[in-house]
Amino acid sequence: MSDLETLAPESATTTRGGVPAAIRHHYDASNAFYRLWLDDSMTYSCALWDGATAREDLARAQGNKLDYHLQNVAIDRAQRLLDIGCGWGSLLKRALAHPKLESATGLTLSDAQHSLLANERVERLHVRKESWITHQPSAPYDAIVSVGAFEHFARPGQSSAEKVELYREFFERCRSWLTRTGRMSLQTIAYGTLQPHEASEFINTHIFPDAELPIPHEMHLALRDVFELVALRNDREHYGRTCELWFQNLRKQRQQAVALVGETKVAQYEQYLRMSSFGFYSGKICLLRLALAPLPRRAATVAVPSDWGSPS
Amino acid sequence: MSKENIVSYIQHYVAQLLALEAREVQTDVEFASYGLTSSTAIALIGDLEQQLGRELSPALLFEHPTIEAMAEHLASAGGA
Repeated sequence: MSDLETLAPESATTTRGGVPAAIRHHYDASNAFYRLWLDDSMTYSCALWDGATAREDLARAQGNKLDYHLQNVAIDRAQRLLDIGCGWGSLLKRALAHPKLESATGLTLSDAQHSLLANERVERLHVRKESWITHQPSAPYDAIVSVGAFEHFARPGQSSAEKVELYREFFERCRSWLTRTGRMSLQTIAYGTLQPHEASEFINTHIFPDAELPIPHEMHLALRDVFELVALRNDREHYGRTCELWFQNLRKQRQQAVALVGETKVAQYEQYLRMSSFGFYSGKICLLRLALAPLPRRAATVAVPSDWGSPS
Repeated sequence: MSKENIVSYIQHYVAQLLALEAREVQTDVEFASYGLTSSTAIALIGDLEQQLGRELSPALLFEHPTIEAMAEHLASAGGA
């Protein structure tokens, strides 16, 4: 039985594109618990190792990852940034080091993330507890980043066609919020060699309920004619490494972790982090980073005068 | 643990998972071809950690992808 079944049901309109109770189940476990094993910036997604970063240096690798996405969206010339699924705000804060940036807006469905960020009252940083389905920007953005949220958009049991339709809606909304020269950067876990029906029941029940990973071709179909895929990286080994370092951190802080969330939860997270690490190393799952540029909307069909087209 | 002991341990482990005889588990075949799931693979890593008394990385199964290669690595001094 899913842990979620004990929670109040939510209507379909509030669960499309990300189920709030499922988000809270995972991300509201305890900020102090996550602080024990994430890096100081509280970045909870795959890091990025370049040749200059030591294998053990998670903090620097997380910084590399944030910078990679900020470069993809040309943050130097951006004035308004949107981060869909902003976590505890590490990307927004890093972006605000760029003085030209007038506002950095983050969306999250997690109460814990929202209240922590809102209470910090960072200048130019706005955090909203809402989904991309309901977000209505007051002005266009010239940069949109989404890291580790896409995994939560679709739900188990949805057909591939339904997933593509939902992803397409997401990309179309993002395009409609971007300026013509705006840029988007996306990071998500996706299925590799693992088939959806082989996915771990343990992970689906206890760790990430009500979430369904994309299959890469579903993303390609959803992007078609909406965004140009400027660059695509599969950094699955980087996520294998990230999960391994998180696991090691959690092990080192085990007693404190148990005091915060209890033995059962700590054991579940140890299992989940190790299984994920193995899943990435083995290629069962992959980690995609996409740089995207909006394509112009097709103009409505223009009525062509009947005497056009035939040479006179 | 000696290399031979580690080979035998992993052979028996994989045999038990797949309901085979230990001698049917070839030591020069990639782990991937035995179809280990994420949970069985990390259970193997966890049990090996207990046997060897040190922490091991799930990446070992890819860096040393056969029983033979893994045992060789683990038996060598400081292999973690």
